Amino acid sequence: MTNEKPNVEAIFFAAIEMKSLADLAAYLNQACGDDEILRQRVEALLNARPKLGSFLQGQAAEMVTTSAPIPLETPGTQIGPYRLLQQIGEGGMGVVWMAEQLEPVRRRVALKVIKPGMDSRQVIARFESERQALAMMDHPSIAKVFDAGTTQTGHPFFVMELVHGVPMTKFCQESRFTVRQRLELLIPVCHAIQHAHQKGIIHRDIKPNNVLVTMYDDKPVPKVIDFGVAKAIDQSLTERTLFTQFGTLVGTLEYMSPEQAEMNALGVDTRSDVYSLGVMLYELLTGTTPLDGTSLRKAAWQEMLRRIREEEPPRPSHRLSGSATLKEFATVCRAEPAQLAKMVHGELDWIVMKCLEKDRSRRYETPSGLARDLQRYLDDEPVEACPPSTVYRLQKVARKHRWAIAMAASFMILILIGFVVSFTLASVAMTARNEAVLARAASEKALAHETTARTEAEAARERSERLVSQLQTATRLVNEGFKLAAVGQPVLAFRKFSEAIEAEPNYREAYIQRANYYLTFGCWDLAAADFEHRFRLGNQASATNHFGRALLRMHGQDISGHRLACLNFLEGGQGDSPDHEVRELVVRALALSPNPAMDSVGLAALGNSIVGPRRHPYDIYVSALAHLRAENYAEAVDRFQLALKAGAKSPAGHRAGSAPLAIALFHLGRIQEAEEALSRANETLEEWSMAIAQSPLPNMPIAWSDWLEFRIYLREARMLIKQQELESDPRLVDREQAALKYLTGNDKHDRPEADSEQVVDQPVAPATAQTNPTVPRFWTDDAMKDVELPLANSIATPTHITEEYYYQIPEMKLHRSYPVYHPDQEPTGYFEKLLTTEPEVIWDREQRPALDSEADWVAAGALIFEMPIGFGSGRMLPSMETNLFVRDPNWYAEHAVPTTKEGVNPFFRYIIREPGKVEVGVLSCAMCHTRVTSDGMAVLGAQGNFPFGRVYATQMLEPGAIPDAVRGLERNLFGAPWISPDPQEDLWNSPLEELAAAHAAIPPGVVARHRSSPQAPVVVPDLFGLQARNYLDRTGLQNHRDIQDLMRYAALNQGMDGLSLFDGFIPAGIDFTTRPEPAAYLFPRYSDEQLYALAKYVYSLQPPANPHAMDELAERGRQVFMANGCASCHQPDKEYGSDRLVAAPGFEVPSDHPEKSRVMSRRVNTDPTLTMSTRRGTGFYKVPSLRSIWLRGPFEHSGSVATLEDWFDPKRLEDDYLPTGWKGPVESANRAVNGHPFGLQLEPDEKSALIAFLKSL
Amino acid sequence: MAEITRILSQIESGDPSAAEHLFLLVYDELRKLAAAKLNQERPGQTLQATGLVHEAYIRLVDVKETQHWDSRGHFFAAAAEAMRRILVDKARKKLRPMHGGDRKRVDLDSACVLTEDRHEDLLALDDVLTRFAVSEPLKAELVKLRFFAGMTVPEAAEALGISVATAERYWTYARVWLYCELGDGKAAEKIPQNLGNS
Repeated sequence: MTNEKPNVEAIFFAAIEMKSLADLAAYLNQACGDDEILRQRVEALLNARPKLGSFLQGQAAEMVTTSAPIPLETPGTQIGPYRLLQQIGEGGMGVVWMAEQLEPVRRRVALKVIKPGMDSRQVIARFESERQALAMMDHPSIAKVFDAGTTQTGHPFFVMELVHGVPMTKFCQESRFTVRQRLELLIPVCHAIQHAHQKGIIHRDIKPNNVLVTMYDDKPVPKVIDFGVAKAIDQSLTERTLFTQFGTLVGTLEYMSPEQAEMNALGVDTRSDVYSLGVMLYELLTGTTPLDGTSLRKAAWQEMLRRIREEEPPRPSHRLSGSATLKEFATVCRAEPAQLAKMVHGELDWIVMKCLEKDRSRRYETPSGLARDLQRYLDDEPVEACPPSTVYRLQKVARKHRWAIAMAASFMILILIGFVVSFTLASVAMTARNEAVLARAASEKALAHETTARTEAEAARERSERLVSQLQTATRLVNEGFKLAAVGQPVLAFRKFSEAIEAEPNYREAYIQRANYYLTFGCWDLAAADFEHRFRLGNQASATNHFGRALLRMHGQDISGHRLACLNFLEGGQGDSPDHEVRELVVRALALSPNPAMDSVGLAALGNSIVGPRRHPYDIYVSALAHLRAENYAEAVDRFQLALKAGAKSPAGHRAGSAPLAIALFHLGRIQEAEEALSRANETLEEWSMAIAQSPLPNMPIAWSDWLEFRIYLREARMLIKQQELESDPRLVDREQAALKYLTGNDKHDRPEADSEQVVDQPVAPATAQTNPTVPRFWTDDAMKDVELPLANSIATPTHITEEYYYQIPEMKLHRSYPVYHPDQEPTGYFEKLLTTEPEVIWDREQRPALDSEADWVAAGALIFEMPIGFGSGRMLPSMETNLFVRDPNWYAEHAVPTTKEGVNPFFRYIIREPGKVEVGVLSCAMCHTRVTSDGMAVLGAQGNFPFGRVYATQMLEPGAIPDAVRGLERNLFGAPWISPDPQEDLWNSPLEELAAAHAAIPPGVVARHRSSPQAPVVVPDLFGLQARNYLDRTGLQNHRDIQDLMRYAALNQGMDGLSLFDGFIPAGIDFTTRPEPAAYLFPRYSDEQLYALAKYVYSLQPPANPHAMDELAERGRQVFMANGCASCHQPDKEYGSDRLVAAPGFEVPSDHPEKSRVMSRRVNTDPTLTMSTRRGTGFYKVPSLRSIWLRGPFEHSGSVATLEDWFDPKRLEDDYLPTGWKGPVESANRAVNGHPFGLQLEPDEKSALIAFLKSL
Repeated sequence: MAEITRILSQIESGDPSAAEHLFLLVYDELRKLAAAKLNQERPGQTLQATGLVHEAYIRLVDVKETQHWDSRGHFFAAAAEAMRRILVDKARKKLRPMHGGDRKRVDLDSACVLTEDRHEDLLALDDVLTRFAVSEPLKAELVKLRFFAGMTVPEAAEALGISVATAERYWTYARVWLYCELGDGKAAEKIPQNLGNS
């Protein structure tokens, strides 16, 4: 019926239906005809069918199994020259055999076979690397290691001296050794370890089971076994080496030093052995290890390690007196319980605790040091170890101080012998070094001017000595402060701290100590101020200090300050620290801000790196914070919930998790759950506030960092979900007042000292503080390299002018300028008076406005904002016409230029640069960024409404306008010659009237600004809340990481990007190819100070009061907004915008794009012209902020629709739509306004509610 | 969850890059789950793909939000492909003599081994399956779902949006086809690749 060849499959299925072989043969003949290949194929399939059996019926996964158990050795097994005799022990790592060595000598040895799971080759290689050193060890208390190798089954083994002994602690118990005997027994162990250390061998696994005691001639002799083994099997502990591989737990956890618990093999040194010796000593004195092994093992993996790293064990005497088994233990020590505790109390406590210091630099330097101190104790001599607590802390400071003095002194010596020394030092020592360097320089000079040099060197030495003496004083004062604090004299203590700081203002530690003191009172502001002082002395600081600073800044709602703190924190590569704790602090610091100083991919990865295989709840909580800020909200929610569940009973930290959880839920649109989480967080707030309010001063019942962190997230969650501030709690305010009173002994609190100095990159001071910034050089080659994003066609990504060139451009001279009035409303005689007004320079190299406070800076910035940079008749073009058109009433009428109710034209300024000559100034920031409202108010920073297009079009056609000049300017402003043909080409070549018409069609609020195009103009953005935006420009053209980026933006856009090189094209270049001499450039440059002030001013801009209330309708609109997922892009906590970029249709994001991690996967199909075919075109559009949208219009990036109502009109997507805003390129009046299809299908009542909501923002 | 929901909706709306994205997500999740499973097991235990895939589904997909979509299929297809790659990579690595060394990471590679000699079978099968997929993509997909993701034939039918009867037919056909190819490598050369759907 058909001549199409039937396929194999069909024939196969038909064939298997055949009832008999004959039928089958007949069918195949018919179906396959003479196609032999077809027939063979079908037959092959038919033949295979009965053979299938269970083929493929299982699962592929079943072919994969976990490692199969491997048979172990048995007695009699021969391993190399050794024959196993008898198993004498089994531990976590392996089985120990008594074995007989057959050759070259016949002797009994101990042979330890390591359990499966190690890579034998590596183990052996590591052993080999130490073999020589091991062989050199010769000490009566060290069991020799003879050999290592691999068994037939592939497991590493070690051969060592056979010791018939008993683990040390067991031996002491069984022999009922006294405390003295125990100490005497430990001393040779210390010496043995010391011996090994001198040969370069660190044991790494000292524990009672590795210190065996045997009796020689009735004398107990300890022997340390297993040297080299721990190193060889690379006992870098992971959960796997502990649990999975060995099945049982390696029994060394209790003896492991904190640095080993960090799982950082590099960090282990001889002092790790000192720690382990300390644990043994503890156990010998108390019968228990400092960290209880049983409870340690019950803890989760990360928790175990955390406890080893952090938990301060009780002193031995405390442990003893609290011990239920004291009596029994005392018996085996042959002492009375009370007597035992008393004996241990004091010096032995100190010796033990010195070994157990978490910071190894505070331990005994060597095992000998420990042995010596033990001997001193036994000899009734004073021990080197000193008590912890207050005195101990004093000593700690003193120790640091001694070191600084020693450094300073040694520098003086080094100078004399002419060494160049480079050390990284604490700031104090650094100063000493600087002095030293000075002195050295001086001594070099001495060759020429011996006498002078001697004087200078002398002076430098004197300065050094003075410094040292100041330090001594400061240290003494700090110490006294601690003493006084300890005896309940806070006022005096506080005074001492402050005196110490006065004595040596460069003493970082003093600030931190004082800050810590404030923190125990809950005096956040005071603590924050001290942290700032400390960081003013340099950014080298511990992770804890960095974190504390970031936290305090964020808590003080200083967002940019917090960001800077984070950047400083990250500078030292802390994000890559091998130290888990440091990374955790980095994440906690970064995550405080909704706008973290790290890209989301990096942040998420960092967060993941914190969670170990055991998934400790707190780690999960911190990683959840990272995911929250990486905007992996779902992941964050999962993790928060996991952490909250697992850590429900823990006192702090993840308990606070409800607040960030609420934030994450909210972003997922799970509003109800978010509200529930928020209410749980509110409960925690109440509970904690109560606890704090009720606890006596000075005491914070909640760790201060947890408390502040919690409040920061709660504040954000409340704003986000309920639009509610976190109100201050009267109980806590009272408490803080009381604390201040308590601290200062005054009713009225005075700041301990005024902030004396403030630098720009640390803009933290309260508004009242005196500021005197040294503005840093912001235009550096390095900074300018990546300030802008690559352009959509990366070939054209501009190279900006160099630092050298930039700073050769003459600086701006700011003359006083005066308002322009509508001629009908100009005060009588105003202009005439201007004609006789003398020019007045208000800001140049010689003079400048007051810049003493934050308020001064903002005020000075306002001057820059309104300062014109073009002068003359007010025209943008060179023209024969020179009349001041701003004085012509008809001009206002023809172009519909709005003026304020006072008649001010806020877009222009009169300026007097020469006596008797009044010019009109143009192109100030204010010219674009000022909106005159319908009720005649000029709102600075709003979407401006000067009718640029109309005014410019008129000027273009004025008599005397030179067509070539017009076209040249057009090319300068809009040329994009790497696109061939340049999209502007047609327009330039057309009659000027057409060009003018294109400009005239651009409505107020939209500008064909430079680097865009009259065919793709841009709406003027408002500048409110700008500080929160990650990118500047509609196309996300420029990064906005800090205030300096805003300064760069201002400089570039006020003339400097005209000199940038775009694929061979220089817009303002001579012939568009050659840069002019810097001094000859059309525009001067703002001074760095001026730009800093300008940026400060822009950050300070606030919208006027919103007339649209958050009424019932708007509330309904809010629900529509949420229900339709608007908040996923227009995020409430990001000023209803986002820090993400949206790729334009047709733009393929390069895989190595620097902002790739910030690109949303969603595209909204907006018209791509601006971002694909102009010099501002990055291929992206920014998600605009919706804040104060009520004051804006027209909308869409090119301003194609006039109102929000039009924006939500589905008709705009149709081709015959007549845009209500910018009509579009002239030739096409009717066109679709594409993009952002959201909200178009809403019901009319939903739509009006949504619009009401948007207008209320 | 939101991410995968969004990706699934992108697939629905025909975004071709979304499928790859989905695959990567599912792949990661399955690797993690598989490694975790193997780490919890005593030596000698086997993996259960079905459990893994379903666990991944529950972890990644907001079931409430997604059930009205026809997107389970997309998910399971991605999961099957992910399981296939995990297992095949595993087998391939085992064949390389120098594999191993870095044992610090707890991951799939160090936590499991292929049953003796089976890795070669698995690789051979995968080769044949790849060829089969050229002429019979849907049937090959079914094999992946059934054999690599451990689904039953009715489940696979649902994921593919075909009837159970059709799936049973496909399954039979795929098995004989693959068996043939594995049994006699030469046969494959003789049969033009496009014969199946001419």
